[in-house]
Amino acid sequence: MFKRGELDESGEGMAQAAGPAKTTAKPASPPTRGSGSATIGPSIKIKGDVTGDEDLVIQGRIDGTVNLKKHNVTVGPEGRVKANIFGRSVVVDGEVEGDLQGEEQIVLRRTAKVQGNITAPRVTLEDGATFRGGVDMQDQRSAHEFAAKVAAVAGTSQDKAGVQPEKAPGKAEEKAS
Amino acid sequence: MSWSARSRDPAGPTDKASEAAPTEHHSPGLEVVLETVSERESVRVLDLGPAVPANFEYLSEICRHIRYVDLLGQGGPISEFGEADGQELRRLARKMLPSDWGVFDLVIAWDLINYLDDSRVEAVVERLRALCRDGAILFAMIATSGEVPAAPPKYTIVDRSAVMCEGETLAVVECPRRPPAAVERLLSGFSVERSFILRHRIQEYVAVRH
Repeated sequence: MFKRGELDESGEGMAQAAGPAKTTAKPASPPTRGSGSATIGPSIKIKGDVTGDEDLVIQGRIDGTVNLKKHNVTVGPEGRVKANIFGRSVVVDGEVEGDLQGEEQIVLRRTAKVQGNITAPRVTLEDGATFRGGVDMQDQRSAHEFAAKVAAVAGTSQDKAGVQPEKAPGKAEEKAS
Repeated sequence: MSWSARSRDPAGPTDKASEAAPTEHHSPGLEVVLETVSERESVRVLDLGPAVPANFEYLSEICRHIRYVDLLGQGGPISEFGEADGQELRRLARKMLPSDWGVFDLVIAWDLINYLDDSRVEAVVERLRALCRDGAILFAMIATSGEVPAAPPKYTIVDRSAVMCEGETLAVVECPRRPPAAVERLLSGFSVERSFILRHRIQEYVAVRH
């Protein structure tokens, strides 16, 4: 289960003690209790690191880190996370202040508000999502492919970076319809 | 709020009854920019507007890193400029466009410059120059009429050569009328390679960092 973090003053329990989520939001992979997933309910506040070996739906508040690299993490509409999140797939409906790293994909749904950097092979922004930060979609495989391409062209004198002078006809003011 | 620090979602009253209808227009400048960067490897883009899903989808086809910093957004970085000038302006510009973001191959400024006075444009451009590698492209849309929408509109890439402009209001405010020579002077560190005068009183600029 979870690596225990620091609870808030109220001493409310962690995921195991959380009541059922009040929201009807549909997570990426709908979690089912007792079948390898867990929910942090809306009244739960966690300060610390969250790790585990099952999918997680966050409807409460987390301040720290969420590290479930092999599992799906969903920040529900009521979720408020101030943490870096690592997951196989990360879906955000709520608010996140921190970096998101997905092994497979990251989805920011229409109600999402995210400030931080995103790293994943596939990233989806839905209409209405608010995002501020950087998105890096270079996965391990394409990084290797790119390195191979660079190695293949190394030694040639052609510089493909920069605007080719012959294609830039100098200062030109053009009328467009 | 002065026009030089106007945000995308102004706190003041807006004439919602007269919301501007979205308009699609040809964007030859954007076409040049996208064609150029699509020929490059591992392109890094800095978008100075909001993270518009359609733009993200389009840009993600031709680049692997995109950074969004909505300078004109509500409570956004530009609002921190306030009445600052001189060194303070430069300090704030460094804070809003920090060096640890790395260097970029393309900066999409949209119509940002219309909403800033000269000193603010200079401070921002100075930072953009620092954040761009040699040969990086800066794309900007400059109003030629001396007025712009009261709230900065949202621009959505429709296709390689067209953008949709969605404004919140039909209300307009004055902005500096900047002839090409003034724009070239303001874009210090960049050379204007192409510019296009459009029918709707916008001039698009494609500038290259040197």
